[in-house]
Amino acid sequence: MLIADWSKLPKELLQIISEKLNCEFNELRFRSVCSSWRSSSIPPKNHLLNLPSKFPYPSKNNNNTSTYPIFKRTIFLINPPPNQQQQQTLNPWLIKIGLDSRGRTSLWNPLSRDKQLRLRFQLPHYFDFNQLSLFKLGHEFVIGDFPSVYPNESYSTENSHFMKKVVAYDDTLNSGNDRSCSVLLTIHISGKLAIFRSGDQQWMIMPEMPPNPYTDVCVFNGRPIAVDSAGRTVVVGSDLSLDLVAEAVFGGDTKYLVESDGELLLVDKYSNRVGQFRQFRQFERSDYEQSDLFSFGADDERDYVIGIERAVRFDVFRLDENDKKWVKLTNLGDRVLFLGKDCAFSVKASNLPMANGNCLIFRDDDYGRDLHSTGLGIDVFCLDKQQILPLSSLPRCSNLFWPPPQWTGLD
Amino acid sequence: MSKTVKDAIETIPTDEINSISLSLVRSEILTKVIEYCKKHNSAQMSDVDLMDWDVEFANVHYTTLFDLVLSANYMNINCLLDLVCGKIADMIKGKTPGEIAKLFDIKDVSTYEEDN
Repeated sequence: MLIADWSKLPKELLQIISEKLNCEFNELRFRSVCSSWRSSSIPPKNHLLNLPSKFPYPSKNNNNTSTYPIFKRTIFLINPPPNQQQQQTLNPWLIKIGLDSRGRTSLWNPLSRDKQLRLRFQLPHYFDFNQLSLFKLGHEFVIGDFPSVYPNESYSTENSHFMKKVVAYDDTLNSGNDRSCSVLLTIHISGKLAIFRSGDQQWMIMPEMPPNPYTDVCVFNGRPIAVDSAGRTVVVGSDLSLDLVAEAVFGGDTKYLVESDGELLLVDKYSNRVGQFRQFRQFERSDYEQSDLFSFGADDERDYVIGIERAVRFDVFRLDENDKKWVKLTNLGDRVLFLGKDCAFSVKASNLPMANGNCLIFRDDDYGRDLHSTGLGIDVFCLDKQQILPLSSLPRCSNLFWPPPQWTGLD
Repeated sequence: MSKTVKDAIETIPTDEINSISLSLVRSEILTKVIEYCKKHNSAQMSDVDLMDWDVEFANVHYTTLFDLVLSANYMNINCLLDLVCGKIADMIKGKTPGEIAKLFDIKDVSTYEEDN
């Protein structure tokens, strides 16, 4: 009888398994198990290696010479170590971790671009990730400088408008040569899509003006997908052609894309405008003008007006790829969707300290928010009750993000 | 469904076939493989039900998984190989290297500092 010696699995099988691990963090651990596993798996792909370290913001006239660094931040769910005492159920911890503009590993608010304040310790000296059970929930790329102590500081707000979500995907197969080719996709302030490929000097803004501005991008099954404010969804081909994935649903004001359980979901946000404020503009007026988000006064005015929006409800749809339609979902089941500014992801309620799924956790933008409020500003929308509650109203769940749970020893 | 068997049938002259030797596959595992192939060829279940059936099928002890993955590889059945490798990957996700080694009984555990 053949005794199962896993370290002796043939190379090609180990390769298939490591490819299915789906995240470089798991792949690193796979490679650390034993020498034969290490030698058979391909080192994880790092998009940032194929791209410049600094980027200009996407701009039509390309006169803008300021460049900003790009950061990759990863969102993890950390599970508490097996509880020996069994006195109380320990909460998991949901964190976003990445470098700040001074190269220090920092923790960030998982749903926004701000740093978690009040972290007194320097990681990783006090925290050994190798001994913990971690699940990667998602990652994001952010371009900009982030001291971000006060969310309404002018340049960080400017960055919030100007720099929308950035996604990266691999286009090596179509690049025509053997060199690894990574591509960044984002939305220009005018609402058009912008692309940056390995080897480019500037962003390329795709000339096609959609009937409605694009509001979100994502990478699904390796393909870059974009959705506009009416829900019309397209896939960006290698030759930069746009192919229809699903027709518009109209409905609310902003659309988001989330991958959940292997399928692509559309989240439709209905918002109310609760106020507005003026903001001094940093870039050329022509960059902003085609977007309907901003209004200007006289030609020589250097500032513009931004509306403050608050979400009132959400609808969720799943994709019917054959009919190219979004089909409304009334129940998410066990799933909880998280909508962050630069990343959206889905977690099963059973992996979180939540009794039920079927809800959406999000954060309204910072404008108009009381700067001194101590909360994270995170809210929950329950699909069954069609109601928005602050996260603090769900007692066990409000401890998911901050402060760090007791078992981490970081509080 | 098995490319190995298909190739064997195609290369041996038809009047000489009595049996095809699959010497590396144990009988208990072959039974499971046949069960898989029959289910996937019958086309009686909907896609969703078949996916659920697959999940149940792959929910076995890890020693059986080991034999299944080697057999699927030897018999060249791509969809079964995909299913079992996916199940193994799911078992690995989220675990520390020490836990993975313990789960699969791997003795030659080394730690590599430079990757981390």
